[in-house]
Amino acid sequence: MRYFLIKLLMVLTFVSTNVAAQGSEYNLPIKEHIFENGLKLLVIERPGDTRVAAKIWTDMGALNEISGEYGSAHFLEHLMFKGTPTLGAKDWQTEKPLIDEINATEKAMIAELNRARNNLRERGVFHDYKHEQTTPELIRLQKHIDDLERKVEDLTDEGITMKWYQGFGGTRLTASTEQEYMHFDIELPANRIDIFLRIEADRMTNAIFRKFDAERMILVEQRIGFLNRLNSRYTETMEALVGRTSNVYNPEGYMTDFKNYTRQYERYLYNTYFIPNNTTLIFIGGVTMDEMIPKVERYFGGLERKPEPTRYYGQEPLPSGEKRLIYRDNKLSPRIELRYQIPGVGHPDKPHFDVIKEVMLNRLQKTLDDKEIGGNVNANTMVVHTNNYGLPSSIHFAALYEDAEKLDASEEAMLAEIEFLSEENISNEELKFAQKTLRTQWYRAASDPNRLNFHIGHFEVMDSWKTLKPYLETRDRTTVEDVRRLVKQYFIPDNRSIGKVVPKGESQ
Amino acid sequence: MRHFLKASCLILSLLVLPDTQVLAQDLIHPRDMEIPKSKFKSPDPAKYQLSLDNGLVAYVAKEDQVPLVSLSAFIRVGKIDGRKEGAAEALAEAFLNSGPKNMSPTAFKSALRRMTAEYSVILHNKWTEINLNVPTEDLEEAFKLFCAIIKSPNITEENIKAAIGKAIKEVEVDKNGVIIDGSSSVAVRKFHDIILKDNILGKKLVSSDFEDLSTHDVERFYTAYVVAGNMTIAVSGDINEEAIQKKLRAQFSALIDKAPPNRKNVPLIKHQKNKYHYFPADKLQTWVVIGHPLDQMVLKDKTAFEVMNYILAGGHFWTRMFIETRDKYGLTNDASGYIEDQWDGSGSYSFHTSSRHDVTKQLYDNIMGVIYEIQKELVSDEELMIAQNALADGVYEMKFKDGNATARSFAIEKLRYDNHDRSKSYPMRVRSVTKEDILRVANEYIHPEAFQVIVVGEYTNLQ
Repeated sequence: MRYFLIKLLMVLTFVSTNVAAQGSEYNLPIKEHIFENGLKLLVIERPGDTRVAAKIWTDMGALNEISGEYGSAHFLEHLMFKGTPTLGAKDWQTEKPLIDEINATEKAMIAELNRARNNLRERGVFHDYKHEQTTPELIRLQKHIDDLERKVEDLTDEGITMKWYQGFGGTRLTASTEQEYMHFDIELPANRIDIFLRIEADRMTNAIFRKFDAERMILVEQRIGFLNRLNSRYTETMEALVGRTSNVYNPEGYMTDFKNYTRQYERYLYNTYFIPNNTTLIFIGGVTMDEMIPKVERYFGGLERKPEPTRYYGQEPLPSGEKRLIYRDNKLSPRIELRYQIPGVGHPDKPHFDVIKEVMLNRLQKTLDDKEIGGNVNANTMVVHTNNYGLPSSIHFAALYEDAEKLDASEEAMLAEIEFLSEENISNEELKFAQKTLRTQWYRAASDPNRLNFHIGHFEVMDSWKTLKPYLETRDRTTVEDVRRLVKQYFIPDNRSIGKVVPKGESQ
Repeated sequence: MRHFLKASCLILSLLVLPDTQVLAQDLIHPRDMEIPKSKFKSPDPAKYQLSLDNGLVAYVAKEDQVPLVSLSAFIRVGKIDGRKEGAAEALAEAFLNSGPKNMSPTAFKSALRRMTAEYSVILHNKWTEINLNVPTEDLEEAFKLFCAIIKSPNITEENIKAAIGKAIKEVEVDKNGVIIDGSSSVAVRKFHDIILKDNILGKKLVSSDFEDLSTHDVERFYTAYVVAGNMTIAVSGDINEEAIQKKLRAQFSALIDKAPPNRKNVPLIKHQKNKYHYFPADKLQTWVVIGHPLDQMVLKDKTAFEVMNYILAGGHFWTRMFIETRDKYGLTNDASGYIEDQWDGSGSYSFHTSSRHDVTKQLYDNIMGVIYEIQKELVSDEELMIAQNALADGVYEMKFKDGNATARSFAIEKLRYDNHDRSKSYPMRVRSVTKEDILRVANEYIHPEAFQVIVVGEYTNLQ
């Protein structure tokens, strides 16, 4: 029966193999195949490789969350490591009624929360006052869930997906969720790719959200780990200053969100987005498209196409005034930082900003050194949290100091340099050097099949994998006029956010 | 039997899945999947090796997926070497920041920048590595520069000053003795300070150590150690192998062939009685390191210990320690075990973790629980099989996954062991480890009574 179905699907499958044009500086011989159920398969064949870098991409992330549930996409990624009925269950027949009861109890908890919502409501940003902390019924229901979870624990094999990946020689096992995507990764001996297909098809279809509350505490650990870093609070505050509407500034959510996560909402995200027509498989290494099509068909062919999920359509309003953050901290290096909003991938100007970033990095350092202001300059063009590309993007330039004495002079010099660049062309040598730097950075990324896989997948969820190569080529075609035009157009006071880190002083 | 199981899984999946897909999905259990033998073949070092008459050995490998070239030198000279303290640190500074004698440090930095090079110099206890990566278009210039740095580094007073600054850097504390930026690396550093106290490997340099160090001393240090037979070279990337071999001969055949000074005798790291060491830090988490020195082992035991660690705590997701701390109880984001290798002689074995303050004790107890357990009972057949496959087909293959990795792995192995027997025999050695071997090495080499427990963060009674 199974073989008949597979054969039938093979016949029905729409085969469209698209090999990207070759012969440019950027060797990206990507082959594409789209299955009838909408699943996209991308392969770069590297015949000599004995291993393969594999990733499964889902077009969803923090952008798809609602207020109060920020970070729930990231949490979903954690939950998707908890197995399925056929992975991780010692006795699914016994476990299933327990899982059902947990879900039903949670529904009762949500109903009780809604009933008592006025009494439990937070009364301000300081999270320090509620009329009541909880209700007796909530306490009873939570205890019931805890008891059920303990019973499930006895019926569960922990870490099952990782175990078998490792047993098949898998390395670099990880997963990641950002504003626009979730992906699960591995590198395997090429002839063992079946284990990836077996596990991932199951994971995206049949995930059981076991150990929900214990896993919630891992988010707390990750969050406080992040907050322990000296820069974190400043960076988060600065990012929030730059954008206004998109909940993209911290894709891992806040402590105040973690307690709100429910199985019900996570299941909604899972059922909506983890469907074949919202999924891309990417393989780079010792496999061929011809061998991968039937293999993928075997494990994913049975998944049904579902209604296309809604794409995030939020848009930042046009910036309308300069914003300034004064951040007081004695442990953080004093700094001055300029940020401007810029377009994301898919907009024709975006590749040029990568070049501008490199040009500015060199020029600002030289300017500050020449004026004996010094400092350590860094620059980035980023999706706020995600380092490389995305929507909405910002570009930032920062100069860090040992003390705050030169901050004002530094700000003045940086702004003067930007003003200068909006009127005068940079030299051709500067431009060529910036472009060479970007090419070398790209080659370093592309030399690693795992990183190359990331870039292809990231472009696919942001825009299309087909625009990656033109994007890289556009950077090589940027002109000195493009630099001047875009500096003049985008680096204006109303589109500027300035961050200044100063010592707190003894009195504060 | 296998087909029956497959069919059962399929039927089961159709009947009982939550939110089920209607169509059949192949849900064969991984245990029942055939694991084909990996196609990986250990590369033959002879294919990559170039041996010069003066004893210098280089490894040259083509890897042309992207137009980049990597050049590395590995030298058997580290922090413990030389008669004058600080000479190794100053020489590393010269390699990193001064460049060769035939150009100024400014011109050297400009050249690196022009080439968009990635350049690093890493000084280990017993060896030094120099790494340069450039676009292929700059190969000619980079190759000359790389050779010139090794053959005639520009050693200056500035290098000595910079070495002092780096060597005497301490963990910063506030006026109350509280660590300003507590972290995992601070806890690990404290662990090393404690177990290596009074051992040459843990010697801490102070400014006065550099007082009578001159550039002449550093030159002498360089001349004594950077000799043909005391280093290996790796060149890989988008290259013509023959042309590179020719260049290597031309550049390095005249390098002096003489024996380096005998290495100082490094005493074994002594075990100490179990002790708790607390360092306050004002952070939201507490970091814990638990460990002790690791005795020297014969090769068979070393392999078995590696497999044991993989099962217990080997720095990945599916370990006993990870499951009993993170997966089941949400106590930490990570709890992993690290074998620290000091090339020859003893090293250390330690477990690193962190947690919110209120669960540190429970975390510690769970970690100790799995350590005691692996010393009491045999591991399962499945655990052993998973660890063996992971190490022999995963970790090992990654060391030779492409030309760049292969040239580097062989060059380091040659410098350390003077042959390639270890890498050649690794998969076979891993696969021959038994459950009994694991139980034995867990008892022979893990000594909870000698654990040093380092806590950075909030005070917790771990008795």
